Amino acid sequence: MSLENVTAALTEPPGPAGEAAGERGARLRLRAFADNRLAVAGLVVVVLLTLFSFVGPLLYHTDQIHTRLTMETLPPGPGHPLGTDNVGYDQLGRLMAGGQTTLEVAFGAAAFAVIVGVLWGATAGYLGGIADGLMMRIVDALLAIPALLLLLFLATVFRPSVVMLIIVVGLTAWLVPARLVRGEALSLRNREYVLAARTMGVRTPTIIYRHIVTNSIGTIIVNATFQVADAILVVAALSFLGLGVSPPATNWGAMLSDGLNYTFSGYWWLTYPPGLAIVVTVVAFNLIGDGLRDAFGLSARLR
Amino acid sequence: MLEVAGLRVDIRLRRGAVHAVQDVSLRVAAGETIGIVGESGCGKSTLGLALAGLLPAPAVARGSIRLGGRELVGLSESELRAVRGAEVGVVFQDPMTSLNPTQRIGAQVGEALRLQRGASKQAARDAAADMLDLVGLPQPREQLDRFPHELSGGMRQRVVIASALICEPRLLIADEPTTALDVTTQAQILDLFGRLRQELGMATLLITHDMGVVAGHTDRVFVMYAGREAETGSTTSVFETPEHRYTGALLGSILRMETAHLAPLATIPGRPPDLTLELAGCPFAPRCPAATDRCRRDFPAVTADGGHQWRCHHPLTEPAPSSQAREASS
Amino acid sequence: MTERAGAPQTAEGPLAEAPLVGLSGVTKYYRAGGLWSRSVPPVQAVAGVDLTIPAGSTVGIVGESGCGKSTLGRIVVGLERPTGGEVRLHGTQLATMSRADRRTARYEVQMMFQDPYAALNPRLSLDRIISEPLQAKGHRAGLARSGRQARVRQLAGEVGLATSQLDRYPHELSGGQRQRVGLARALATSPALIVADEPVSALDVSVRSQILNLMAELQREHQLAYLMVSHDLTVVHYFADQVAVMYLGTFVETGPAEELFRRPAHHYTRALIDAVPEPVAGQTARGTAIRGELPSASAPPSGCRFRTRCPAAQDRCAEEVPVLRSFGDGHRAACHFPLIEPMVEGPAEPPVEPGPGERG
Repeated sequence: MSLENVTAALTEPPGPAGEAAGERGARLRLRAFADNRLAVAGLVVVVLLTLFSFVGPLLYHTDQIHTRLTMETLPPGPGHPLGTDNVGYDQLGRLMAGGQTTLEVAFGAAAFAVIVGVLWGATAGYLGGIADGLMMRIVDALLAIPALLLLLFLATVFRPSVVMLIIVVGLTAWLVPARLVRGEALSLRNREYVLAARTMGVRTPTIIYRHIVTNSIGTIIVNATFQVADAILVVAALSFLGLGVSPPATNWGAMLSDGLNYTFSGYWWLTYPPGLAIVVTVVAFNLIGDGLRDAFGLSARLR
Repeated sequence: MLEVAGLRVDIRLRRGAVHAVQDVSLRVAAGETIGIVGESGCGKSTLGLALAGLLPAPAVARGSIRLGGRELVGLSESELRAVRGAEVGVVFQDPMTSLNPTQRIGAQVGEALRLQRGASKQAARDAAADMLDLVGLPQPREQLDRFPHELSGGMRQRVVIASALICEPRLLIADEPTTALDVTTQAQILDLFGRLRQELGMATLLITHDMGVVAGHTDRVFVMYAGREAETGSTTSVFETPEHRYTGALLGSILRMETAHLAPLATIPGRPPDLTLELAGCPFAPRCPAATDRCRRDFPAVTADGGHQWRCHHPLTEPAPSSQAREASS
Repeated sequence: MTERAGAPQTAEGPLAEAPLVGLSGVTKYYRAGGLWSRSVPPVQAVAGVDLTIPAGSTVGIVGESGCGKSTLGRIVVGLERPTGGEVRLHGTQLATMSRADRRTARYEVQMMFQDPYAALNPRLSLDRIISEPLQAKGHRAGLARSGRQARVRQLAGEVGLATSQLDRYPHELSGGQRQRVGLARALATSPALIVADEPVSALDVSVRSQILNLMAELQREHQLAYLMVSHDLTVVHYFADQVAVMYLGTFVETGPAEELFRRPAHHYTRALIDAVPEPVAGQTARGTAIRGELPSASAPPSGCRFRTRCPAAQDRCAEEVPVLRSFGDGHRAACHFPLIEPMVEGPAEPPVEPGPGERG
C-alpha cells in the first residue's frame, strides 16, 4: 500500500484537488520555495552579486582599460578598498568587471545547454524508436569524452570571447538536460492527452512543446539552476588554465589565476576576493536549485 | 467485534479542515460482511483508512473505534502497526501500487507473519504458499519466487488479498477491491471473499461505489453521504425498501442489463458538498428533489425500524412533500 | 423511443453504400523484446478482424482486458498502424491516402479516453484544451482566433460546461466535468465517429448516467457514430446498436445488441453476461464464472481460442478453428457447439481468422 494512495484518498474528498498544476500549483510552489530559508538566502546572494557586478561599476568608477604599472599590487587602503593587482587595476572594480563576464557566460552557457538539451531530449523521447536510439547514442558517445579535454580542445581552437565561451561551455553541458528531459518525455508521450493531440492532427513540434516540454518544466528549471553553478566552475577552470577571455577583459577564474603567481609574496587581496566570489556564487545557485527541486517535488536524482 | 462510536475524522489542510467523517457509528459482528457505499468524496475511503489505523499525519480521528474490545483511537503509530498487521488486513483498489515491484511474491506475502509472529523464513514461506493456494493462485509454490509484474491484474489482487490475510486478521478492509478488474475477474474475487469469510470467520468491510457489488456480497449496507451516515440496514431491506432519498437516487442511477436501449438515465444533479464547510440541515438537500425548508434547516435525526435506520425527513416510503412545501421560501 | 439503428453487418459487398468505417482482415502484431530477439513469437493483439461502423450508430466491443479491444480502437482512430488488413474511411483505404489526406481524415475520427484525469494536460486551461484541435485544424481551415473562441464557447455549451469555467484548469474540475471537457475536445473537429475507450468506467454511477445521457444526446444531434470499447456489459448493452465480443484478438460473436445479449450463441458471451453483478439483494452473479485467465496472446491455443476456459470444449475445438456462422439477422458466432441453433445456410463468410503466416 503506497502512501501516495493513502494521501490521495484523503485529499481527494471535496471535489477540486488532485495534481497541483496550473496557476494555483505555481503559487503553491512559490510558497514552498519561500518557506525554504537556505534557498531564499541563495536567491538574495545571487541578486546582490548581480547588482554588484552590473550596477556597481555605475557607482564606483574605475579604469579597467589602461594598465598603470606604477600602481601595481598596492595593498587595500584609501582609494583602493581591495588594493590593486599586478598591472595596477583597482581590484574591487576588477571584481565587478570579472563578475559581469562570469555571470554572462554562466547564464548564457546554461541557457544554451538547457535549450539545446531540452529540444534534443524531448524530441528523442517523444519520437522514440530508432530516432530515440540514434539521438541518445550520440549523447552517450559525447558523454564518454572527458568534458575538460573537450573544453580544452574547443577553447584552444576558437579564440575565446564571451560568446565563444558560452558556446564552448554550452556544447559540453547540454548532454545532462537532454538525458533528463528524454526520460520525462518517454513517460509523457503515452499520456492520453498526447494521444488525443495526435488524433487531432496536431503537428509534432507543437506536441513536443505544448505537452512534453511544459510538463517537464520543473525538471528543466531545476536543472538550469544547477547548470549555472556548473558553468561558473567550468569557466573558472578554463580561465585558470589561461583559456578564458583575453585581457583587458577578465573573469573571476582569470583573476584567481593571475593572483596565484603572487601568493608567496603575501598579496592575499589578489586571490581571496575572486576565490570567495566563485565559491559564494556556486553555493548560492546550488541552494536555489535544491529549494526549487523540493518545491517541485522532484527526486534527488536531478543534479 | 468492531464497534465504532461517534467517529470523526478531520483532515487539516492549508485551506481549512476537511470534515471527512462526521459522527459515524457502526457495529460489525464476527463473520459479517458490511458494504460501505457512496459517491467519491463522501468520506468512505477515509473511514476505511481510519478503521485500518492508516490515517496519514494531517488527519485527526476522534471518537471511538473498538476492535475486539480494544480502543484504537489514540494509539501510537507502533501500537497501531501491531494491530494492523495482526488483526486488520487491508486491500486497496490498485494491486500494482500495493505490491513492491522489486520483491518476490513469497517474501511479500510472508512478511507480515515474520514481523508479527517472528516466524522463521521457511515457516513464512510455507504459510505464504498455503495462503496463495487458498486465494486460488495456481501452482502456489512456483509463484513464490515470481515478481508482481509477471502476474495479471486479477492474480496480483489475489496476492494482495493473500498478504492481507496471512496473519488471519479478525477484520478485512477492502477499498474498491475489484474496481480495476474485469467483470469475470471481479466475479471470481468477490466469490473468493465469500469463501474466505466462511473458512476464516473474519468480518469484512467492503468499500465501493458499485451497488451491484454490494447487493450480492454483503449482509448489511452502510450508505454514506458527506461524511455521515445516510442509511444502514440489512442488504435486503436497503435494496428492497430504501428509505433515504440518496439511497434511492443511487439505486436509480444503476445501469442494469434490463435498462432499455438509450432510455434517458436517472441522474443525481450537482455534486457532493464541500466538506470544509459546516453544513446546516440535511447535506443531501441541495441535490434532493424532495427537499423542503425543514431539510435545509435541521439535520435529520435517526429513524429506526429494527436494524434498518436512516436520517431523512421525507423517506421514500412516505408520500413526497407537496410542491408548495418544497418551494416555500428558498 | 430510439430504434436500434444500423444495418446488419453484411459481408462487405463492394461499396454499394460505403460505410463510415470498414475494417477487413485487420491484424496487429507486436514484436516482443528488442531488435535481437526475433525468435520470440509476436503478440497477436488483433488477429484478423472485420468490422463495419455505419454512420450515426454505435458499435460496441466487449471483452476482458488484454483481448485487443483497445488496440482495435486505436487502429480505427489512427494511433496504431495495422500490421495487415485494410482500414477504410468512406470506402477509401487509409493506407493509400496521401499524408495530407490522412491528416484531414483524422478529423473525421476522434477519441474519448477512459481516465478523465490523464486525458487532459494539467498545464492548459480548459479553453486551450478545447481549442487545441481547432488550432491544429486552423492551418488548413484558417479558423481565426475570434472564430475559435466562438466555437469553444459553443462546444462548451453543448457538453454542459459553463462559459465562466473556461479559464479554469483540469485539477479544479470533478471527474464528470473533465469527461465533458474531453468530449468537447473530441467534438471540436466535427467528427463523424468518436472512439470511446471505456468512457465511463472511471466515473461514479451518478456521473456515469450524466455522461451517457450526454453522449446519446450528441449522437442524435450530430448524427455521430461511436465505437464504444468497454469491459462493462451493461454500458455496451445500453448504448450500442451492434456488438462484437472479442477474445484474444478475434471476434467470437457479433450481432445486434439486444439479440446477442438475450440469446448468446457463444459460451464466452454467456460467461461474460453471467459475471455481471445484479443489483438485487442476496443475488450473486448467476451461474459459474469462467475459471482461469486469458491465455498468452503470443501463443494462443490451437483451434478455438476460448477452448481452454470453455465449459463445453471437446476434442474438435482443439483441432479446428471455428468460423463465424449465422444465427439469424446479423447475429453471428464462431463456436462448434453453440448455445443456440445456427441458421442452416452454413458459413456466412470465410474464416475470420487468418493463419499466423498470412499478413496484409
